[in-house]
Amino acid sequence: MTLFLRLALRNVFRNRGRTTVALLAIAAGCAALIVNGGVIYNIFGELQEDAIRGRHGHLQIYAAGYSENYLRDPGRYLIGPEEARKAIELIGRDPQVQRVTRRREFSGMIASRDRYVAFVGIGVEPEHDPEFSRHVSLRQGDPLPLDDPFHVLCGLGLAQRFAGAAGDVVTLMTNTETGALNAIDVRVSGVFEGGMKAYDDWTLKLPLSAAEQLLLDDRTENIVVLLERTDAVPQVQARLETVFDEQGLQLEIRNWRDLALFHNQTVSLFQRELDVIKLIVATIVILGIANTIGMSIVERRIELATLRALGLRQRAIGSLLLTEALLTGLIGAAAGVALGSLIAAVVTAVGIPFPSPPGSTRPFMGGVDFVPAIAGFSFILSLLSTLAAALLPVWKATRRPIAQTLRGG
Amino acid sequence: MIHIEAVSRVFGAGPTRTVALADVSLEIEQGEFVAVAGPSGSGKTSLLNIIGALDEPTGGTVRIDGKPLSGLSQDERARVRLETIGFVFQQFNLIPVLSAAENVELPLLFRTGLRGAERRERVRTGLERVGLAGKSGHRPAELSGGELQRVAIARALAGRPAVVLADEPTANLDRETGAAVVALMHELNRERGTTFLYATHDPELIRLAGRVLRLRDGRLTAEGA
Repeated sequence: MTLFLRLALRNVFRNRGRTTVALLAIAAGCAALIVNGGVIYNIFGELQEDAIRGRHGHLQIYAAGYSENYLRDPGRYLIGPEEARKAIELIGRDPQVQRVTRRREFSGMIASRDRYVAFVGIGVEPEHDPEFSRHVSLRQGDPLPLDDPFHVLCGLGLAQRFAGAAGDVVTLMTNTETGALNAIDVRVSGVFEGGMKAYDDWTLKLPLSAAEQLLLDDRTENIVVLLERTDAVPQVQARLETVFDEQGLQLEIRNWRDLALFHNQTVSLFQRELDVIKLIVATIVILGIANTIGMSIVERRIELATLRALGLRQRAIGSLLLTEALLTGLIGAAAGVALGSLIAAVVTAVGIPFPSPPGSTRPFMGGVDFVPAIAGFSFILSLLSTLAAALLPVWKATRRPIAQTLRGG
Repeated sequence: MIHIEAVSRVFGAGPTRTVALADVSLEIEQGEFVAVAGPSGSGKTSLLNIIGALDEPTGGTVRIDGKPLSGLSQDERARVRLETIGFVFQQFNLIPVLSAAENVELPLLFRTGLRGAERRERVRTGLERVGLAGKSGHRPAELSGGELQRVAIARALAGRPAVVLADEPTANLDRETGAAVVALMHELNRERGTTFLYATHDPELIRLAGRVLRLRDGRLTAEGA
């Protein structure tokens, strides 16, 4: 190690009490950022899994033009049975694909005793749907049976609206594509809670074959794909787009991020909150240690004037003091990362009982994710805050008149 | 070697105006051993600060080896101090977290063209010459007052300056140690031909000088051997 670095390092530790306070301030700020970010990312993870496993899957495939035109002309943008079969076969060949299922959404009315309640129906394949509903809890009754299509699962809020319970027989009514009114009788197999109140208040699931009988239409609205890993979404999406093009299938693919608007808005809101916390922590670190660094420099003013008298330039004095601040920042930030990761591990092991997130109906046991990107950012921010705190005292120190300072001024 | 002409230094203005130096002119040749004598407040430190490029005169000119100090930038003045001038301070002014050897080596780090081996050799011989070869690893807190000032002398001479300026170098030492320090400076002056200027008001130390400049109220009142 060069003499210059040795001098800087020894200066950092010459007043151990003060250095300890400065290091604690930096480490606490850095750890606070890591833990706060870790909690938020843990919530993001919960919301993400809710969106993927509870509603959207990783990818959804529609007839080309569906996203833009479905509301204007719903009957035109559905996938025909042959095209759906071919698409499912091609999708199933991708090594990342875990499961594929078809769905058909429609709206209608439930008639139960003297009540008529509107619903949003989702026709699902009962053999595949549980894999896409891991974050959906059955509050009452049983899942959809595989051998009898005339069963439905009701969202908790929807069941409350028509005072229904598992075992009830109700009538589902809807308009077919030609405008005729059609109805089927079904038994309520169970009542579910999907985690989002708006979803639970309106949704009803029934086997796709029953939905097709009710709608008098065997076309598919969308094909939902679940992957092995969420981070593989962009690659698989690109691969499938290529395969569909090659095979002449007129399909469009949307991923879960395109569809999970609530998730995206929540993430965006929390990201902004995280940015504000970063600013606050950086300000606290700067204010907390600027005084400490300033004191240390003022106490050493005669020593610094001596170095200048011996021929060191202002730039060399500035470099020495900034190197000391850099070392302090490095040590404090490294301690902060260690402290943050320790807190994250301990809190995750113990668990934090969270209330329901905004729009959700289900409390969950959360933790603190140790996110390397956040840890890296916190490390750099702590380092830069320390350097920023040193700038003004260093600038003043390099401009102090030498002769006057040596006299003790 | 050092040429000073009509130098004045005034601090403050109005009622707080203080004249530290007034119209001082003198010449000092290479290899002289000069005491700057005078009571406290007579302008000794102000004169050394101006010769040492630590302060700028209010009026007049200073030349060292024919080069004027006025008009130089801060960096240029730092370079003059680094390459031409050595300093010995009343309070020793050693860096407390560095050993004796490291204190001597520190200014040499900033000399261009001086490699590590040569630097270390200068430190070794410098400490050896002032009788502290065995204490090179000691920190200032582990050295006596006389030893501290000898380290400071070794530091001042390590850069092989043309002139060493010592401001009251014995003020914090007992009489015997102070005399020994001035005697050491005198030996080094004779051996190396380095010019020494030291400020003092101690008559015993004044007697050791080859030439004495007497100041009173900022004016040069007398000079002589």
